[in-house]
Amino acid sequence: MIETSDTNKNKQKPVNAFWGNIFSRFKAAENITTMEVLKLCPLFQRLSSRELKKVAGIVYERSYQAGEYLFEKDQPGAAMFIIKGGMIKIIVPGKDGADAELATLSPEDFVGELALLDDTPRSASARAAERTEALAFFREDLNEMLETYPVIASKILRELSIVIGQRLKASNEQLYSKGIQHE
Amino acid sequence: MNEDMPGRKQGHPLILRADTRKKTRRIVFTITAVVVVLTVGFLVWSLRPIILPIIVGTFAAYICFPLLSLFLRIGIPRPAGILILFGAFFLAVMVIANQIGSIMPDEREWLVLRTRFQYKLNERYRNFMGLGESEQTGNIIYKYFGNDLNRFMDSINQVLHLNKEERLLFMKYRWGFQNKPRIKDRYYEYFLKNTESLRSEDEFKNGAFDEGKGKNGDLKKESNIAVVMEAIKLWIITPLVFLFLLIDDGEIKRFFVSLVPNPYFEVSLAVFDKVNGAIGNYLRGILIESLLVGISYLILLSIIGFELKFAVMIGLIAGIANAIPLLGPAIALAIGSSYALIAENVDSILPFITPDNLIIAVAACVLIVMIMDSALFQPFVVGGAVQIHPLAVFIGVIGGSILFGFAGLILAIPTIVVLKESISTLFRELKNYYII
Repeated sequence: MIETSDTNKNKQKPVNAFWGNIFSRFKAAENITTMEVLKLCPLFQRLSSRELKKVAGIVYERSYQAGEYLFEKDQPGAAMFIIKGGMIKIIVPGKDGADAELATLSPEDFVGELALLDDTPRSASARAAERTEALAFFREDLNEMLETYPVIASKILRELSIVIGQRLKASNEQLYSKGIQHE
Repeated sequence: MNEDMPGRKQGHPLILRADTRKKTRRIVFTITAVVVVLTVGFLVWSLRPIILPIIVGTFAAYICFPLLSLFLRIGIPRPAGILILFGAFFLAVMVIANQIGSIMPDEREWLVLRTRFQYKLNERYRNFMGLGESEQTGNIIYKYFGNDLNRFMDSINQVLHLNKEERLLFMKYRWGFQNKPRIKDRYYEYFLKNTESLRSEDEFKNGAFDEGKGKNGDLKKESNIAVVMEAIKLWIITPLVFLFLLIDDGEIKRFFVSLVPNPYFEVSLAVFDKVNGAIGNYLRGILIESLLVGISYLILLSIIGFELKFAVMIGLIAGIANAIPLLGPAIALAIGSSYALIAENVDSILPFITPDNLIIAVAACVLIVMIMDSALFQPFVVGGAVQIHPLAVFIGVIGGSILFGFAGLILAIPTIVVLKESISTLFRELKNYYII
């Protein structure tokens, strides 16, 4: 089920390396800086460079091998993960024992953002599909930021609210469309 | 054996199978862990003189972290905030050191205090046991327990007796030495009484009293400069630890978290944060509680007629000793009673307190502070403090003092609290994360 690291790397390589480098929003994981990744993440889009630097100072860089879990379903959430390089799959254990894949996330995407609000159990697992570099943003660091740099923290929380609202809307729409199909 | 390892047979680099690699990794981890634990243990034991200065610096930094956050919140830049806190810390250390230096008894006062204490203790013992000048048989308590109590008093007297050099020095101060005021006649009489037996057995035989008369008999072999330099060498670490911990913007935490394997990453963050919060709250709570206890002693002892200098000194010691549950009040009672024992006259605002009942007044003060501590300070300041079993308190305090002396005595309980909180949080979180 999990693709090998080499296959994915080949898939991601742009056809024309020259134009690819100019127009692509992403660089290779090893070249892109933490600041650049954060800038691409919707949660931090409204932050100035100075503010981003503060956030870059408190995130944790983690490296995962293919098949390693970033977090597992039902564990309490403590951090949100922003993908710097590689690819992760969001999975839930199916009734038959096989994992059901809900989504595949690539660089710039983020996952586990609800952990920034409280430590309720994760609703799904996140597993690296290939060698993945991720940035972990810890809830307690955000809480501390609310005390020390309230302007930065409130900007992040505002964007987080927007993202959660959008996801809620999308879920409602899915439920609605499923309801219509059943009828 | 080599048949399983074709790589080695063919001269290629050795390639280990997955299970062998796992086993090798486990062995390497175990050996590394053992080496690290032994090295840390060896370093802690070898460098134990600097443990107290380091802990004091860390403790001060922990207390200042919320202040630094407050500075940042009100818009003071981090470097300026650190500078303000460091300046305040340095100033506080200087003022406290100066104040302690001024209230601590000097060599002359120390000799007089010991002489007074020994004399008064023996006098009160004789009175209590009914061993006046005329009646030598003693009261009923003395009849039953006299032999044991005498042995106990002998051992106390052994500790309190001034040795030969100290006696010579006392005599010098008696006649005026180093521009210090002469020792009062009354205390000289105490001295003569205390040294009665010794003089008859020892010094008159050797003529030590006469020998000492022309000598420069300072007790200290080391010069004052050497002592101060030694103290500075050790305690210079404290402000440095304080400063570097304030400057550190999470780098130490990030370093240790980076060592944690991925499956334990989130749980390590959760544990670190909860332990950090609990320890910070405990340390800040205990500091404020100790401060309140110290101030309470200062006020109450001043009311019952203690000299301000001694009230401050006892308040300070009782405040520090308050970090030791159960034993703190006992230490306060012991020191307060010792002073009450030697008090010649009492200048209390309460007219019924005399030198004879001063010990009872001290006991009442300790009781009042204990009630205030448990009814007011602990619930409102320390809050849900970590509870430790009394047995753990005693073993910790005795073990700490055997291993690390005075520092171990004071720091044993905070260390046990920190360990208890860390271990319980670790196991709780590991369970929450279904790791165990």
